[in-house]
Amino acid sequence: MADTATLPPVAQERAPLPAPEDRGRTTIADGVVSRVASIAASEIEAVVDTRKGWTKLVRKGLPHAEATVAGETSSITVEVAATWPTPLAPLVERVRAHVSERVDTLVGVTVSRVDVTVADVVHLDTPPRRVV
Amino acid sequence: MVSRTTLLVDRLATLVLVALLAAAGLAGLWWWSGREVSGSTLPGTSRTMRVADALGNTGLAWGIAAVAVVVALVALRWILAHLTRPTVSRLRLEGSGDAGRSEALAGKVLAAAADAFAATEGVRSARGSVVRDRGELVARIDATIEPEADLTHVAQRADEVSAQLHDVLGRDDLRAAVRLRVAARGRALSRVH
Repeated sequence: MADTATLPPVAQERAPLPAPEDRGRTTIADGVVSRVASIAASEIEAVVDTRKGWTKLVRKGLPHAEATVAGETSSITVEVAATWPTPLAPLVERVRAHVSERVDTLVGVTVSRVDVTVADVVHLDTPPRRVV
Repeated sequence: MVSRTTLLVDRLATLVLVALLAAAGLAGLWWWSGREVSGSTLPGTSRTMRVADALGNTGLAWGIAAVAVVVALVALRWILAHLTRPTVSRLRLEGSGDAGRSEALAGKVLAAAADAFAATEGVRSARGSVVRDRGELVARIDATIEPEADLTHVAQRADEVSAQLHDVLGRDDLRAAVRLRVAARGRALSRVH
């Protein structure tokens, strides 16, 4: 039977961990930032999600985002669809601010630039059917 | 629709052509009358020997051929300038700057505006585009209306859609134009039993 009283405490066995930057490299892929930006854009009111069914699986349709990560900063291009008749300039500003905030918060990457294009405008009201 | 530059070239070319034709006409009248103008008259006969000699020169023939090719290319470019539509594909939105570019696909915005207008009772179909017409940015909606459409109501809706378009794009330099065409005959309506 071992003499447990002579063993050093567990905390005293482990050497203190080095600083996080000395323990390894963390790489954020462009696709991760693109995906977060795309989801963030879809969270804005008056932005329409045109991805349905298989287009959602293959990530076609809108909103769509492309990101380029360089170090701890990123440049993002976002394409969205809006509803008619939403004023587009304020909408684009909201998309830009929200995408920047979400990418910064969730991924920890500083966003230096967000180019936003309204690539589609959807008129949701369908014309009344004419009958006699 | 042609660009402002093409219109300017057209007018200058027409002016030059008119001047040349007028000069040729006056020269013909002078030759026909046989009168003396400023102490000189045109000869009653012309000698073509020098022209025939010049045409016999191979170098000159190649030179004329080269000029003909250049003239043909310029003419082709001139024709194409009249065929191309100066359609605007992207519109810059307010807010573009260092933080990023803001823009909209003009065709998609106008398609939605046309859809909104086409939902009006009495409007059969509509389509829209943004063009640059003589330096002005013009959002144009071309619509076909039913022969029995209420024109007052249609005109009111055209004003409403134009105002909405102005709010959507937020561009004071964009002018809106709605062109209506009355269908030749009424559309056959679906019957509900």
